[in-house]
Amino acid sequence: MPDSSQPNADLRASGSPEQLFASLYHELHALAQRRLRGLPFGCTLSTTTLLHEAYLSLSNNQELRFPDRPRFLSYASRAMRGLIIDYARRRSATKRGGEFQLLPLSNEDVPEGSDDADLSELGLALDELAKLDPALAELVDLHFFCGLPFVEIAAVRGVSERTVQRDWRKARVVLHHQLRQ
Amino acid sequence: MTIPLDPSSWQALSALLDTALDLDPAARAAWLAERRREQPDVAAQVERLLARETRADAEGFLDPTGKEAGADLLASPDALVLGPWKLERPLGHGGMGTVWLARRRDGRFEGRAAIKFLNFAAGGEEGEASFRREGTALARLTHPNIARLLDAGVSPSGQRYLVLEYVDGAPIDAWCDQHDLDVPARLALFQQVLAAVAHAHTNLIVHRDVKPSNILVTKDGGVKLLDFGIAKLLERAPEDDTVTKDRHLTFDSAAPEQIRGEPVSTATDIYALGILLYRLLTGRHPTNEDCSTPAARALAIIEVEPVPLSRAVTVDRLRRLLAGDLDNIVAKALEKDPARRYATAAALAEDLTRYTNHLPVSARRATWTYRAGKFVRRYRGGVLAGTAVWLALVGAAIVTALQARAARIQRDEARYQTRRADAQVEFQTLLLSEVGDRPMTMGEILDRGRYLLLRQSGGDPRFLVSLLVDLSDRYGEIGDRRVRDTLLTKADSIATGLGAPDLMAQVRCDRADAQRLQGKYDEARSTLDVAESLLALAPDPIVKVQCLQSRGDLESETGHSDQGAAAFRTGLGIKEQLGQTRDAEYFGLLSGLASALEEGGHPREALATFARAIEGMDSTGRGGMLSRMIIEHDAALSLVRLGETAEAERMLHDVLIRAAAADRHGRIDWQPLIHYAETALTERHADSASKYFAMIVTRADAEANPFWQGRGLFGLARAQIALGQLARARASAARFARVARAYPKVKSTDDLVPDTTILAGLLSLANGHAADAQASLLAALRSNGYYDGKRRTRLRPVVLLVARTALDLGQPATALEYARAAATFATLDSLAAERSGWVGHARLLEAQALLATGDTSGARGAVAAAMRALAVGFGPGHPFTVEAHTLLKSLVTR
Repeated sequence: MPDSSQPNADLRASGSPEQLFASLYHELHALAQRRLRGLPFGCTLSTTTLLHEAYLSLSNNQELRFPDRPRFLSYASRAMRGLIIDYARRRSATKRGGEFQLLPLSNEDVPEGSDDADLSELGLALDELAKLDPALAELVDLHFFCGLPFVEIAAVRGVSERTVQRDWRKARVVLHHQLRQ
Repeated sequence: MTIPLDPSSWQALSALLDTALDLDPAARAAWLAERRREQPDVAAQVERLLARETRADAEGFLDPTGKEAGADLLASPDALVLGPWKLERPLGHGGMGTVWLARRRDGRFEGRAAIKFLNFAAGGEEGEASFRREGTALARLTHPNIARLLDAGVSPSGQRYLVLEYVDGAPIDAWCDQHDLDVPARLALFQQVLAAVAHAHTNLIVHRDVKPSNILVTKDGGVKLLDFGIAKLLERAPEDDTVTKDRHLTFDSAAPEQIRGEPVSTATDIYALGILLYRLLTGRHPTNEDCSTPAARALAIIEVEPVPLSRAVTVDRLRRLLAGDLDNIVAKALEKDPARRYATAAALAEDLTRYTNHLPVSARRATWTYRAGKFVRRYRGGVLAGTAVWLALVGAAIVTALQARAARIQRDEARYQTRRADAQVEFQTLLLSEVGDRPMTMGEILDRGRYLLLRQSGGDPRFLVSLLVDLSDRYGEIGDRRVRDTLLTKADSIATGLGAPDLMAQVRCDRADAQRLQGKYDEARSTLDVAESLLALAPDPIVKVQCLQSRGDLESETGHSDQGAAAFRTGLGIKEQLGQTRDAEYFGLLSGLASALEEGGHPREALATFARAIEGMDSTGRGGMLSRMIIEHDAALSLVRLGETAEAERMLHDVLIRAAAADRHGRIDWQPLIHYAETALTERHADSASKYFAMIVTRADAEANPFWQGRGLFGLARAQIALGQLARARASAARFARVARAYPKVKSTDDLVPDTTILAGLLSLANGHAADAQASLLAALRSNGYYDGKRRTRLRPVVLLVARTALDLGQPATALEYARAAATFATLDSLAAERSGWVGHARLLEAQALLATGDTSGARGAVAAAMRALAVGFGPGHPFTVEAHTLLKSLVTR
C-alpha cells in the first residue's frame, strides 16, 4: 500500500537496471552542469569529485537508492562513461563546425586521445567486453573514465591493489587487441 | 585472431593471462614455453595478447595519467575558444586568476596574447558596462615599453577576462642579476621603465602596481610593463561590504597614501618607481627590511624614513658610486608626502639623465636627519582603509564594517563627518600600534578595541559614540549580544550626556534595526519614535534618511506598507534635494518603496518604481548585483498581479536560472521557486510547475517546514489536476489538508489562498461533478471573506471557476454576475484592460455566458476584447487565448 504521505509514492525505490542507469546519468549530468556553471574559465571538472558528490546527494534520494557504495559505483561508473562520451561528441561537433557552433578550426587542434570517435569505439568495445567479463569492463570505467586510483578500487572490491593492477593490464591488452585489429 | 566470445573459453584465457602477467619476464618465457607444448593454440593467443602490452605502452593507450580522459572533457563547452581568440595552453596562476596563452583565430593579430581570467570576487559586483569602459580607456595606451591591453570582455559563462599582449621575458630585477649588469646599465634599463610610465601619465592613467614582477625584460633587452591600470579595473565599489581573502599581500611597492587609503595619483607611481630603483641598485627595500610582520611593514612605510641609498649597501666601491646625487634622486622619489616627490616620471627621467651625464640634478640634499625612533603624525582626511592592510592586520569582519562606514563617511560633505573620520583614524592607529606579532582572534581584537575606546579620555566624545556603535555591530556579528548591548547602552549614555540629539537619533536608528532583525517589532517601533522626535529637535538630513530607511523597513515588514512607502518617499525626497541620486542608499530606498507599493496593492506604481530602480542601477554600473535580481523578481510579481503573466513567467524563469547560478550549491531560494511555479501553472505549463512544486515539497519535507510544505502541496495538487493525474492530486490534497490543519498559518500567502475547499472544488470539477465543485468553491469564497470584500485579488481565480461551473450547470445569469465582477476588479488592477490576462479570462467567461443567454452581439464584443487581453497578458499560445480565438471565429461566421 503506497504511503500517501509521499507525493511520488508510485515510483519504486529501486527500478530496473536501465531505469537506474538512466536516472544516474541524468543525475550526474545535472550535477556536472551545475558545477560547470560555477567554474572559472578553462578549469575542468574532476570526475572523482563528481562521483563523490553524486553519491552524497543520492543518499537522500528516495527513488534512487543503492544498498552500498560498490553497487552505486558499478552503475555510476557506467553512467559516467556515457556522460564523457557524450561530452566528447558534443565538443567534437563544436570543433568541426557541427550544429552547436560554426567555428571552422583545423583538425590539428583536436587534442589526441579525446577524439570522440575513439572514445565511442572504446565504449562499444567495453560493452562487448562486459558481456564476457563485466567486472573487467567496470574496472576500465572506474579507472579510466572516473579517474579512481587503483588503491581505491581495490578497497571497494576487497582485493589487493596488485590484483587490480594486473586486471587493468589484462583489460588493456584485450581492449588494445579489439580496437587495433 | 578473435577473442573467443563465449564466457567459458574466456574464463580459461583470462586465468592464463592472470598467471602470465604475474610472472617476471624470465619466468614468463619459461612458462610460455611449457604452455606451447601443452596447449599450442591457447598459448599463441596469450603470447600475442601479451605482446600488445608493449605497443599499448608506447602509444599511451588508455593512459589516464597523461591526460585524464574524463576531467579533460568535462570542461565547459566554450573551452578552447573565446570570441576571436583560441586558447593554447595555461601559463599559470596569477594573483587574480588563471592566465592562458592565446592566439587570434583569424590571424589578424600577429603576436600571441595572454588572457587573464579574473576569478576574483572583486570583479563580480561591478557593472559590466563600467568594466568595459575602463578596458577601452586602457586599451588606448600604445607604447613600445607597455604591454598592450588588447581587449577586455566577459565570457559566455560570465567570467571577466583581459586580453593582454603576451610578453616573454624575465622580471627586471632577475634580469639585472642574471646578466650581472652594472649601475649605468641598470639605470639605462630603468629609463625605459620611466618612458613607459611617463607615456601613461600623459594619458592620465596611473599604474598603481609598479613592481618587478610587472616589469619584464625580453630577450633583446627591451622592457615591457604589464598590467597597467588593471588594479583600477579590479577595485571594488566602496559600498560593497564583502571582502575577499585571496589577495596576495605584499607591501613592497605600496606608497604611504595607498596604505592610508587616500586617493592614488601619478605620484604614487613615482614612489613605486623609487622603490624599484632602490631595489635595482641595492637589492633591498628602503624601509621594510627589518620588519617581520605585515603590521610592522605597513607602519614602516608610513612612518620610517628610508635608509639612504648609499648606506644600504655594504660594498665600499658601490657605496661610493651611489653616494651623492643618486642618493638625493631616490630620496626625492620616496618622499612620504606625494606633493614633494617628482611631479612626473619625465622629471625623474630627466634628473637621471643629468646624473648620467654628470650634470647637476634638481633633487636637493634632504634636510632631514635620520631619525632613530618613530614619530606619530596626525593624518588628515583619509582613513586607514586599504583593504590589503586590514586583511593582513585585523581580519575581514572588522574591515568590512569599518571600511564600509568609513567609505560612507568619506562621501558625505558635512564637516563633522570628516572629523569623525579623523577620530576613526586615530582609533585605528592606536589599534594598529597595539597589534602584536602573533595573530589575534577576532574576539581579542575586538576586546582590545573596546578597551582602547573605553579608556580614551582625550578626543571628542561624539566620535566615541559612533565608534562604540560600530564596535557593537561587530560584536553582534560574532554573536556576542551581551557585549553588543553593553556597548550600545554606553554609546547611548554618552550621547545623552552630550545632549547631541542627532547623534542619539542615529544610535537609536541603529538599535531599532537590530531589534527589527530580532523580530522585536514593538520595541523597534518605540525606539524609532524616540529617534524621530530627537531629529525634530536637531534635523540632520543624513541621519534623517537613515532613520527613514529604518522606518520604511519596519513598517513594510509589519504589514503597514502604505506607511512604509511614505517613509521611503520622504527619504528619496531628501536624497534628491541633496543631489545624491546615484548611490547604493538611494537605490535601497527606491527598491524599498517599490516593494512597499507592491505589497500595498499598487502594482502600477510599483512597476514604475521597479523600472526606475533597475534603470538607475544599470546606468550606475550596479547591474550585476544580487539586489537587482531581487528587484527583477519583485517586478515580475507585480506583472503577475497586473495579469501579464506571460512576461512575468519569462522574467521569473530568468531569475530562477540566475539564482541557481549565484549559489555555490545550485540552491534556489523559496520565493523565486514558488513564484515561478505558480506563474508557470497560470500559463498552463503544468509539467514545469509540477516539477518545481515537487522540489519545494521535497525540500520542505527535508527541513520539516510546514509553511512551505503547505504551499508546495497546494500548488502540486493543482498542477497534478491540470496534468490529469487525479489520483496523485487527491493524495497531494489529502496531505495538504493534514498540513493545513496542523499549521493554519499556511494560508498567509501573497498568491491564491491555499485552501482545502478550493482543492476539493478543483477535484470535483476535474471529475465532471460541476454541482459539487460549485458548492465547494462558493464555500471557499465565503470562508475567506470574499463577500465581505476581502482578498478579492487572491480569490479571483476561484471567482472565475465559479463562473465556469455556472456555465456548465446552465446558470448563465450567475456566470455573468461572477465573470463581470471579476472583470471589473481585474481592470482596476491592471495597467490597461487590454493587457491583463485576468481581464481577458473574465471577459471570455462573460462572452460564453452572454452566448448562453442568446446575446450574440454582446458575446462577440466581449470575446473580441477577451482575445486582445489574453494575447498580451497570458500569451498567444495560452489555451484560453486559443479558446477565445475559436469562439470569436465561430461567432463571426454566424
